[in-house]
Amino acid sequence: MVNYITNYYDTILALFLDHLRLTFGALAIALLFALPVGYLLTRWKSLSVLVLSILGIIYVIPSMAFFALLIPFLGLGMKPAIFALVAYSQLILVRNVMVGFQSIDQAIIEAGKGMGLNWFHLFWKIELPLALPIILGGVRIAAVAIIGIGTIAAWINAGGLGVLLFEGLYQNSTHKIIIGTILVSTLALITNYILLRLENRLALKAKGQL
Amino acid sequence: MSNIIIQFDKVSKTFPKASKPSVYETSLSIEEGSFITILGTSGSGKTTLLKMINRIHEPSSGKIFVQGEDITKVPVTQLRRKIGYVIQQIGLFPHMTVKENIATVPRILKWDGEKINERVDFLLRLVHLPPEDFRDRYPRQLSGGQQQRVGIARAMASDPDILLMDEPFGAIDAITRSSLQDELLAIQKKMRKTILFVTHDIEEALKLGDKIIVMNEGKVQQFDTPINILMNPANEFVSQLVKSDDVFQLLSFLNAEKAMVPLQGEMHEKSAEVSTETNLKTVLSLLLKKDIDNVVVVDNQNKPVGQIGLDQLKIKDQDSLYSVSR
Repeated sequence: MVNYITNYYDTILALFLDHLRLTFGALAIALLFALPVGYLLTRWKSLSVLVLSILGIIYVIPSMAFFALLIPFLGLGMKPAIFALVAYSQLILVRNVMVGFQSIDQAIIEAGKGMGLNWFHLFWKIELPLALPIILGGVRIAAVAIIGIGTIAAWINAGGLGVLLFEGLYQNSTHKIIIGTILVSTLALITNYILLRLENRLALKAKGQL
Repeated sequence: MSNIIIQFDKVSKTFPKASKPSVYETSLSIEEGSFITILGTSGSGKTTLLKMINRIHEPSSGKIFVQGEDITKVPVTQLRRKIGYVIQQIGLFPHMTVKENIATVPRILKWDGEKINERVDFLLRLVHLPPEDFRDRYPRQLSGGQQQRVGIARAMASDPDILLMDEPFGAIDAITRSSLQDELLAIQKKMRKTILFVTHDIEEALKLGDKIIVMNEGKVQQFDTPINILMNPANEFVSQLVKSDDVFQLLSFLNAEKAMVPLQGEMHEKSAEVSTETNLKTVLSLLLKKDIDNVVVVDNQNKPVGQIGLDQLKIKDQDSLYSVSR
């Protein structure tokens, strides 16, 4: 196994970086959708049941089936992989964005409005900082989920650490599977740790304890 | 001649899905610099009436004018920035320090840093919170009473002419509430703001208000001075409201200033002297003495400013007279 690592460390590194790109690319795009959608759903509560139901249905589609389903439309590679990962994470992200904004004490919003803050100031200076810890909690859970599901994306040629796992399976090579597993798990653990620290920090800030 | 600063013109408000209007065809004129308390039970429309002034609620019909201008004709943020707003739940921003809370509007108005610092310190001293101790604290490090002091300071940050206060002391313990009331009166005396103050507590309404608006079922029952509300209720409802408390007890929440009439002629031989701050219960007990039939009110420089006789404390309402004699 040590031999394999020393011989192929550049390949492994490339796959690891691919995986990072896939994960955080998908996460960034997912947030671009989830932030406005979650925020707007707090305003139009009647729509939220419908939207969350749809996102819930997407969430339970098995990932292998979802990737396969996308091939006729988006082909193989990164594109369908990112599409699927973005779609999966919407439920977690949108729900947390909604909860984040809904958890703000209405008196704070009323005081802000009453003193003449416009929409932008109210959102940027009051609502967002107070909702951020819960939103970040969603980002953390979504990130860990995407890192895991992202391995399966190798099956449709999206690259990443899943390549090591699938090769290990086909070639019956245990060390590839072990290296792949360790790297994926480490990435998930480190991501979780960093985001959790940030989340706690922001929570303290929102409560005025920092 | 006093100027009218806020005017309601046949204002009604019916909330969606409500069967009855919260406020019904209300017309009122509020004089500049006056301290108006709005008294009523929950559901009387008192809070709705208040919150239409800064357009937290929009009237269903009628017009409201602030400083002569139709409030729907100015941008809502601009309107609100010249009207301070204090609510019962306080609503301080928990992620900001006391200073940042107070400086919110001045910062949006792009005041320079030095001016903001001076203003924050001035306001903190005004509400009896030493700036050096409190400036950098967070709301969670303050007691309820201290939080509401910051709430008042924040509402006055950009020096608005009008303060709207929605049961600001409702959730504060009785002792702290009483000292906050005294301080608010002192602030009002010093700053000459127009204050509209909603309360369900008749004692608070009598103690604070130059005039009281009594509301019930969306209608103004009486808009009058505290002494007239107490002694000359306009209708059955106001009379019931006043009667529900011991009238003598209520007199103790009014000071001599609120009942005195201008001095007439020479001073009586049989008179006593009280200060403007003396409460009317004390005044009444003086008047009940055999050798006193007139009380002269003097200001803090000992200058006579008015007088009170038994006439001023007579209850004109038959119904309440009956209840008192019982």
